[in-house]
Amino acid sequence: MGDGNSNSSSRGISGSSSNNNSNNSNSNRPEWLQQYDLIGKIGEGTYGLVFLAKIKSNRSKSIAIKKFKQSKDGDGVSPTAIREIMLLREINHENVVKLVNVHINHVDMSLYLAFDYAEHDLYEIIRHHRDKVIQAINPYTVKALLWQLLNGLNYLHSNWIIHRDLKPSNILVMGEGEEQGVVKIADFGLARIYQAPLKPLSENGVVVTIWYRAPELLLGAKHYTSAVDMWAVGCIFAELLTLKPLFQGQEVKATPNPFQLDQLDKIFRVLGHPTQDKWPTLVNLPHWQSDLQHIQGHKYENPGLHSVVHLPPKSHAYDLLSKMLEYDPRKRITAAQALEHEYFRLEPLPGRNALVPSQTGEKVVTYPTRPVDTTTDFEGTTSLQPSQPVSSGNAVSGSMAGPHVPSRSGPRPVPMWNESWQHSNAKGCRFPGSSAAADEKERLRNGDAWISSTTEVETLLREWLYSMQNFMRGDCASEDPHLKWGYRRNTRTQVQQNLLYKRSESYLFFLVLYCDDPAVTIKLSFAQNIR
Amino acid sequence: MEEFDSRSTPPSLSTQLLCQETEACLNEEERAAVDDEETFIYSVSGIEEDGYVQMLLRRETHVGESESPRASTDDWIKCARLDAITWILKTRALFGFRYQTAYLSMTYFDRFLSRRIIDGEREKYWAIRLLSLACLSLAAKMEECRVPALSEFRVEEFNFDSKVIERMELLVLNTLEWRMNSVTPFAYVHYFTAKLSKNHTPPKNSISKAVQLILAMMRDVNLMDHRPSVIAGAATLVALDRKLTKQAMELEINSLSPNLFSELEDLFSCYNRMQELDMEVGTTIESPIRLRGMDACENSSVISALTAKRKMLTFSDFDRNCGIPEEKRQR
Repeated sequence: MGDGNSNSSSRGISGSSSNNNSNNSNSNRPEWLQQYDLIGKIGEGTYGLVFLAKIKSNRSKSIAIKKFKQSKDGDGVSPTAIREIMLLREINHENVVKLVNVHINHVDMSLYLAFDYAEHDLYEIIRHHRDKVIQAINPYTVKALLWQLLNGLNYLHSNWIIHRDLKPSNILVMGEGEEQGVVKIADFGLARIYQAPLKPLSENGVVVTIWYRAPELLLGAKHYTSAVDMWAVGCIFAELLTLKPLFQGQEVKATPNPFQLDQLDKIFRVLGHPTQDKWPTLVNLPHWQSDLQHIQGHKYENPGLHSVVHLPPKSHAYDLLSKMLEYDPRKRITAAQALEHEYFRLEPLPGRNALVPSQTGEKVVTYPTRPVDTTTDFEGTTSLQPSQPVSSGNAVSGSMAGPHVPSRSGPRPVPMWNESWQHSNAKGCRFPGSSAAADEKERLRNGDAWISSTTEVETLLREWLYSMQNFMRGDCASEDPHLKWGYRRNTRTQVQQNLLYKRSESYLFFLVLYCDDPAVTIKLSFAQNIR
Repeated sequence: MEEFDSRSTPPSLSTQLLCQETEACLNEEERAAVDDEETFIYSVSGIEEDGYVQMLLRRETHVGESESPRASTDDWIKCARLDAITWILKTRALFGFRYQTAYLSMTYFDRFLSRRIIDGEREKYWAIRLLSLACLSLAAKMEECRVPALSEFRVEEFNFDSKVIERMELLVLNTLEWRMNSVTPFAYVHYFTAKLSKNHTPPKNSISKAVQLILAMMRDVNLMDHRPSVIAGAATLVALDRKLTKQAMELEINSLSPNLFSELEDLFSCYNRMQELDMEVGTTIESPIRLRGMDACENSSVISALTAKRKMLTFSDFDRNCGIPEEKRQR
């Protein structure tokens, strides 16, 4: 970011031929993207990438933008995308993530989903307690998280929606703000509504973690019921209590639908052997029959779930957990029943803000903000540090206390469509695997901070840059609508705003325009005292 | 062999969901339909199905709110629509899609045309073809386990590039605001048949007859003119071979479930129309169903489409905020 010294990798700093390629994609940036400031990448999955962005018109509002991988050529719009969007359009519940907008990039027909941003998720919360706090999550938070998760799930199930992929990383928790500590169930890529056809998960080409998979699915059941989600909730509940996954099996990676012996083994070790007595339809399951020698030949001692989760067998928490981890899906507790469980009627009562207990005296844990990889742009490429700046010495960098900006020569591609690279929250930002992290710390110690720019600043910059672009464009002003803000295809002009930097009371902006030929690189800067 | 045999489903399952993975919800072969009837009759009385149908009815109203049917008085559109149905049913048979997939694609088709106008003497022919193709492909993605690649779809006169089809898919999704989960009458047929036959064994083939009537109705009316439950209810009543007066039907329906049909008038007109259709086409309806009106189209406009030049679609309003107007989201 910013001062650009962070990554001197020459990746992407290549000749002008690749330059043109990157220009092509950038110059085609659709206008809708301009309503956002991209902060960076926050997630990646089989479906595609997730980015953190801010809405320009409302800087306080953070948005998570999920970009679907382009569908295979010739398949058209991906069924997963259609189903997820269709489901999300119909869902409206406090404990389910809210789809704010759907955008189509008409150039490559890629799809972008804009969601309300949630700062935390159960995966990170659990990890923070396990690795940093080294202390269990307080009972209030566990109960409140679980209650809200069940509340959202009950809503989904009563609308005949099965999630099918519940796991800690899909359970989001809102960060600071009006909805702080509110649970949001996310990622409906595998969700299905009522009788829509279901392929076995492995045939969907998706990799789902098997740790939260219900035993009936592991044994090859062809029917999904909402009970599969409740099994996953049970696993998550246990993980909230112990800070480690309850059944951590080794996944067999084969297609289609391999028999996950190790996962079943892990379950049986804790819960004991399922019997036909307790689970009458067990014998009808494909894998139960086909793998007699493996499972049924093995005798499991029953060490008891309570000893694994460190709960007294008579406690309400234990009672609820064991009902969620009931082998027979028909006997497994439903979300509606679970919400009525005695566990939720006893102190501490679950509240809306799961992270901050209403009672005083409890220590409030501050969770880290989500790591943001600021080196990845919307194309998912990491070809260039946004910050490569470019300018050496001169008045601009001379006025900065920040680290030295190395000068560069030669043409440089500008893969970023976005114009600003400031952080939303410098304090908590982490940069995993990036040398930028060290720089960031360094700068903070020096008393400088990245600004969360104001609308005013934005507007000013935009106008200015726009006029500069017009200037650079010279006589060839075209009708290309994407040129307004972005990069022009096949021209020598590239524009990048590199820095948005705050020092003392004044905001200093640097905008650098540069051409393929470094000799004609124009460096410009100006400062504006906002206050 | 299945773990969750519907026959032995205990009442405690009422809030659990049953998604069928292997069986088609509606079998296209008559023989299969009969088997289906036998297995189905035993399980429909549970609270589960009542809740499910209530959910479907709720969903119907939601979709209904946002749609405003436009009378398609244009003869050309009527012909093009029949043409599209013929192609969709033919292609359905080719790929072995379920009937509700074909029906669903027609609901997309009708909803699309209620919101957008296709004009241009030359463009409209291929545009309609492309629209039918995109609608069927989208419906298959919603309903079918195996979805063919776009290139597998065959449209006689035109050779659409898969990118063009994808663009059209996006335009349809966008125009329908991604509300692709329309309820079809097929979802109700089993339930209504079981309920209306009041624990007696329904006449042989009544479900497949109801299915055929629904398909016949699909040709006859704009699908947005009637609620899916109304079409299903009327088809079931005709299939069960009740000669009902309006009063008798009202009694029948009210005994079934109060407030199930708020539009009795509509149900009755649907019922009458279906009885006419039933007379016309007889009990066995082969698809594609030939009905009056088709012949008129044969030699006219549709054929001239053969000479229409292919041309790229342009979607000027394509990358605007897609289909989620702020006010409509506040449901």
